[in-house]
Amino acid sequence: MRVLPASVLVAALVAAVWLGGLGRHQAQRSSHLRAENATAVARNRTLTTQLHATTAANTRTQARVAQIDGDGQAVVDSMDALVRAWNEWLDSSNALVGASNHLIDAPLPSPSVVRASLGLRVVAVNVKEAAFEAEIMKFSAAATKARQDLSGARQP
Amino acid sequence: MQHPPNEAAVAPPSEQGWIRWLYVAAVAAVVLAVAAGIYRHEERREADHAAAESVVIRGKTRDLQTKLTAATSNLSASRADLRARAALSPTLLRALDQLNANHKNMTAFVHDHDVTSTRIVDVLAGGQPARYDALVDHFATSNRMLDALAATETKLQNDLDHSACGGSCGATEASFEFPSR
Repeated sequence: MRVLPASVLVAALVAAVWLGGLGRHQAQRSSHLRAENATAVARNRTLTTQLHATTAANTRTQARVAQIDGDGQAVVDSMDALVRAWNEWLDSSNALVGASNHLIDAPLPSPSVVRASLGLRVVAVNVKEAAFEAEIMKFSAAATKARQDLSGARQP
Repeated sequence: MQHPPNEAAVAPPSEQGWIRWLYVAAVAAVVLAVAAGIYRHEERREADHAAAESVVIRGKTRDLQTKLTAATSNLSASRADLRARAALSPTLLRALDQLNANHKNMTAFVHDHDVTSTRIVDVLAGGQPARYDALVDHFATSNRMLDALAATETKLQNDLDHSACGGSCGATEASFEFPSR
């Protein structure tokens, strides 16, 4: 009559103490892990902030580099256009000079023939001169922009 | 004939009360053991959850560190690119200044040349070949200036090509031509 409840009591107490000890161990482990996780999450937050800042800085720097490269290419392109305009003006001027030479080498024709022969060439030369001056202005604008962007690039 | 009751099986009343309390204590201990089991189970579940979370967080940390290393490396490369361009900027700015100055001279030259050309036409139309020769002499003088302007422009264009994009812009080579006389 007394042995059974006494045995149950002892076994249950032993089990309760053992399970309580295990539970406490798990609680300590859980607490330790949570503390570690909190630290790791804080570190991840710092790393994420650093990553965003670094990525943003890289994007800005690459944009500056691309802008400078674009300016350089724009200056070179406008230089090409300027050289083409110069050569076209020179061709046109050479044609006028050649036509004049042709006229002076023979008996000089009447003024109306001279005007008819050279007038269009003079107009063409003037048009090419205007085109050349327009290209000069474009080059100057491209150079000004390149100068402004470069002055900002000196402090990377 | 009646047998006396078994003394070993039936405890006295005071002992029966004590045994009852023993049962109660045993039941309470079992309940306590069950509660301890639940407590242990819950704490273990919490700890396992925290451990799984820890694995995920550590993975994220490694991923972030890898990304940050790559981003730092990219930033260093971009800054080196920018520094390289900034180092070329004095040469580029000088070339641009010189080109602008040369273009001013070229514009003046073109204008002067065209004025002379118009005068040549006027002289020819007016039948004044003697004045034509003087204007042609003017052309000869201006052709020397043209040579100088063209040579300067070509040199400056090469400087520009080098300083603007390290000589790889693929700029059209300047091809200057000259009047026939």
